[in-house]
Amino acid sequence: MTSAGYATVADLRVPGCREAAFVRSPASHADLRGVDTATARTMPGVDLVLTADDLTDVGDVPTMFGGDDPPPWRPLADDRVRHVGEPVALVVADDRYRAEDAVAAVRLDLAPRPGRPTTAAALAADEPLYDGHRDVTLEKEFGPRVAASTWARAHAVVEADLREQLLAPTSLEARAILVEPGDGGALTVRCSHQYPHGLRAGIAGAFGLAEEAVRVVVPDAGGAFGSKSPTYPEYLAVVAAARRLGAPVRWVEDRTESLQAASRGRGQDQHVRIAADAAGRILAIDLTVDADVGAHPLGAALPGQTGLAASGAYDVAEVHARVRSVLTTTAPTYAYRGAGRPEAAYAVERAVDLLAAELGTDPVDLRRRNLVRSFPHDTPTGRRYDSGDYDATLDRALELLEPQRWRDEQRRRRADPHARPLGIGVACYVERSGGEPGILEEYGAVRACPDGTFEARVGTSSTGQSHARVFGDVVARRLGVDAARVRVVEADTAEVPEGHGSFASRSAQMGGAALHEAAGGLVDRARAAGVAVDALGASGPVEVEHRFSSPPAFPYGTYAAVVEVDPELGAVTVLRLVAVDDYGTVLDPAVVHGQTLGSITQGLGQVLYEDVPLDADGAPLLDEGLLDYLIPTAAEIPPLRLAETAVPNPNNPLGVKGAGEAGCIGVPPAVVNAVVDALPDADPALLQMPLTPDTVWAALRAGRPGRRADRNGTTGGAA
Amino acid sequence: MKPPPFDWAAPTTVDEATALLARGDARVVAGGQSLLQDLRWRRVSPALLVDLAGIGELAGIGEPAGVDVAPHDGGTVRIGARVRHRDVERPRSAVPGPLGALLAETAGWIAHPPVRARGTVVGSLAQAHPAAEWCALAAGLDGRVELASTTGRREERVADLLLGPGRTSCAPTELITALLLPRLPEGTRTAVVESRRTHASYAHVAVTAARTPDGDLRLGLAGAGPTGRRAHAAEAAFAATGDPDAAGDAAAADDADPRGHPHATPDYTRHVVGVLVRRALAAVTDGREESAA
Amino acid sequence: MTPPRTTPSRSRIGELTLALRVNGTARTVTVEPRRVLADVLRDDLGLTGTRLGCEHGVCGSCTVLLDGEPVRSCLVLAVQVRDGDVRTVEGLDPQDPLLAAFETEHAYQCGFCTSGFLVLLRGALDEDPTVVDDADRLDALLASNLCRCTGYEGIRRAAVAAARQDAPDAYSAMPPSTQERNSSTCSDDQAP
Repeated sequence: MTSAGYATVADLRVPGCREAAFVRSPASHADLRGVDTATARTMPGVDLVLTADDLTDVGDVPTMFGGDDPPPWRPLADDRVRHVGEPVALVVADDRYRAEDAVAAVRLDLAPRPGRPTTAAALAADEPLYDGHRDVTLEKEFGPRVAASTWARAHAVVEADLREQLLAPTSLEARAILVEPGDGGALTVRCSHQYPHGLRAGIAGAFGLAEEAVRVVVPDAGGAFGSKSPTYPEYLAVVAAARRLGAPVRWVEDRTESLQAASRGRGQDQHVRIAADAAGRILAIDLTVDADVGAHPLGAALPGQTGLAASGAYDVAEVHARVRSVLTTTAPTYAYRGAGRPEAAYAVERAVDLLAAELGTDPVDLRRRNLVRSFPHDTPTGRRYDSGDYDATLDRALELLEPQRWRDEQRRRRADPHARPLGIGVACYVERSGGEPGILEEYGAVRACPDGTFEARVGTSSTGQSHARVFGDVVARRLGVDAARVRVVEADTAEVPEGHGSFASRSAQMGGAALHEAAGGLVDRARAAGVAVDALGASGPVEVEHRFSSPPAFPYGTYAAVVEVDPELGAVTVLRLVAVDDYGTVLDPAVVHGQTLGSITQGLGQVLYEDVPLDADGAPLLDEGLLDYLIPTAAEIPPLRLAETAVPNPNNPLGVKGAGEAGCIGVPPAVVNAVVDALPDADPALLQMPLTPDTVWAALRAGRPGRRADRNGTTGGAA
Repeated sequence: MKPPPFDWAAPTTVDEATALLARGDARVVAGGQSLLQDLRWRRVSPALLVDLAGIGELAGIGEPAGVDVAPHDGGTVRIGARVRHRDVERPRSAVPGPLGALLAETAGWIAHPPVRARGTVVGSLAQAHPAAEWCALAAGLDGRVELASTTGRREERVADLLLGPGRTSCAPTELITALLLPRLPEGTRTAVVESRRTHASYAHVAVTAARTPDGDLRLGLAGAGPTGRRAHAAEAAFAATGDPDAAGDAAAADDADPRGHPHATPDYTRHVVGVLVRRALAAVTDGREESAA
Repeated sequence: MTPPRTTPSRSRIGELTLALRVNGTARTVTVEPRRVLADVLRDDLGLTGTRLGCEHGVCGSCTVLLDGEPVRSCLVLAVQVRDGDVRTVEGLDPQDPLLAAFETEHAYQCGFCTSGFLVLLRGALDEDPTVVDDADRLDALLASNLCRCTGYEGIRRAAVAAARQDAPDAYSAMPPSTQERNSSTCSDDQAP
């Protein structure tokens, strides 16, 4: 990393490169009556100022997962702005300082309209956000509806309103792109990106170019966490500027832009209802989700992941989910680590704890009674869980948690008025890795070179997941050669003909398997030719391609947390955090361990610290940047106890499932369950994420409500 | 997030600096750890930055000549405008005794080591951030600042300097040259207690406390209102009752004047002020004490 | 307290020429007063290992040593370091044990924050290598910078490993596990 070889987009030295900066909307929702760029155009160093009027020949911004009725999305706003930070004009200058000077000189004529920051406000609005298009941009049901008789005959029914707050993915490198126009309309695009072939298609489509005319290269990337797979409007504007100038143009997003305007994750209003019989058998789960997807339906279909996952880790006969994606006047909500699965696990695992309280049973016992035990398992919402031993992760987690010792301590503290309350929480999860139909395929190719080395090409794109190391090992192992002789090539559309990039925890499972199979093909060729594999290319390169496809896989695991609460301040301290994950066969323990740790840290961020609060119109209240949007530091990491089990994926030649999203799925429900457990006198309906001291204090002050079915939030009643 | 253009000057004396400031539209930069943020967000765009780094007389910590502004015995310590957080953070800094210990503990709460290596104590007062620990400490100890301009020098109580978030009574043509703090007698017990959300966040509420062996109590608050302030009501309640709970209640009711924050309602902040005042008192006393009254 | 600085010369209107030492070499740059040290290092001197992650002093990716002390180069104007001695990640000794320790302890994933942590730790270990002896002190130091990938465990372990190599004698008597926290094999939480 310290070597001269590491270079992000911002680090590239390109002769004649201009720097871009955007004029962005200060308003959440307004008519854009005019953009006065006259002064800006004359300022020192300024090469170009673009507004919507200059981009009429550029196509719309493509939405990756856009829902049923995507309205047009222009690279620069034309007649209306719909979120703070929406790009309105682009300035290109000889350096970023002077570009920002000109940005400050552009005047916008805005006529404010009322904002609609929440799903409730949007659904109550008189007019649609886009004329002729629905505000509910996706509405979908998963699984048959739960029969009324099921609720009626249940021994216990519990329901709750839950909120998944908006999160800022906050890769330390924000978005960055550098576009170099070449001969005959060709473009070389260097971008910090998870899906280079997708970006190539997006740019080619918007500019009417053949895909081969666009080369996308991803240099070293400073993290992504799901946020860097779309073709963002800014990218199209920068391409347009580079084409117009015939010169390289770079845009490096700064932190203010990123927190105000870049895509966010989560953002769901959930209502969950769960029923059990007297023996503690879960009979039904019903989950409704209203997702605030922001002003453009970039990720409108992602909340469907939540609906699909509404069974959790449990064998439940009736599961139903209804998901609506609702346009709001804030920046688009898109994928962020977990992308729909953390939201589902949170709803289900909170509901199971509430159900246990209603039944008067131990939450661990209730989970154990209902875990899926035979595979493959088809869920009512349409998932096929491939394999696993869910009990084993629960068992191992309990060994590491030592619940009896903590329960004794909890009792001791409850008897001591001066002791801080202590709580224990557990959460089981099942996630999905590999992707969905359309990307359940990956390209791999392995080439035997004349010098006895090998080149492995794959359609994934590392943003910090050590692909070169892991994939090099996969290929070397299959070939039976030293890993030093394998060079991994990815993230360059000129080198790799096709690919679906790196998201949805798909790289090792899909790309690794493709390379494994391609390398196997090379071994077969060598055997057929009667030569050693490293001599196969001696008289000229020999390459074997493989397109691997498989159904998605379902990693799973159990998380547990012990917390104590300072009841005066409401501050939560995690005393122990246990994570037991099963990612199938583990290819590289150190890399997978690192993924688990990083994901756990982001889960801690969601449950305790991170949040994008919005004002009444949808403007984010993050004026002090990362002093307001708080990601965990080293001093926020609690003592961890981690373990893995490894039941191989039966649909994968390497046995692998995806790793990397588990921690931010398992941690939030485990910690919230622990805090609720610690505070029997608090109102659990108010214990919503992030569990800031103020939130916890307010829940304590409100007190636990009586068990009345008509109360807002958590209700319960034995039938 | 690049700063707007400005000119820059590096005077070597206070008189040169004040002459530059007198031209108008200038800002002073010492460590620049807050000013650079404001410049990057283009919240300010002065025509000129006046850099204090070359002014030798602002560098040190010492005894002011002929100044004795504080009611405490033992005189006054003068902290020049170039003195960094880090300079008073070291265990054996230039300030000995209980005041030195309190300064060191306070400095340790500010941001993190790289910022403490640049930012200055006086600069923090000039920025007047409501959550700034130095504003709490300086107001709580009833400190004073020295100000210089082309028309002369004056002193101002910190309580009168701090007007509101980012607002002070220091005129644009004035320079704060030093903070004057009363020495604390040997045996004074000191404490800083703070609530904050992560190690990378501002303080939510901070309380600085000093209690002399003869019972004189000084409490400073940050995050409790628009500016750092002395907790007069809490001090009076404790003097009257010797009861930390009464002092906390008084602080919450009368010393706190909190503003809303997305992650801290005014009610909550008021409550935290009370809790932290009680905890600070617990740290500088032996619990409930006989009323002084 | 920082030593007084000489006044740079004015070359043309609006720009200043200043001298500074960077990684042991005397350099002269002519810059607008508003130019931030990080940008001068990256753009004028080509030292792009100093990265900008937030530009408001929080993330620490831009940390450099100024006269031996770690500072945020995004919150320092180049004109403020006239005559100063700046050390960037490129100026670390290639044999610095931190470099190897970051590799062996998996102290990075995406690598963006790495140079900031390396420089922060080099400055801190040079000043007081015992900072790694106390988990709270080490965490308070590491909390200066942000990493979004690793959860900090590898960085913490690398700091300890490098400190031991800096001063092997001081650590020879210490069992290795006493320095470790939060690993999957060792945990020091306060079990009841």
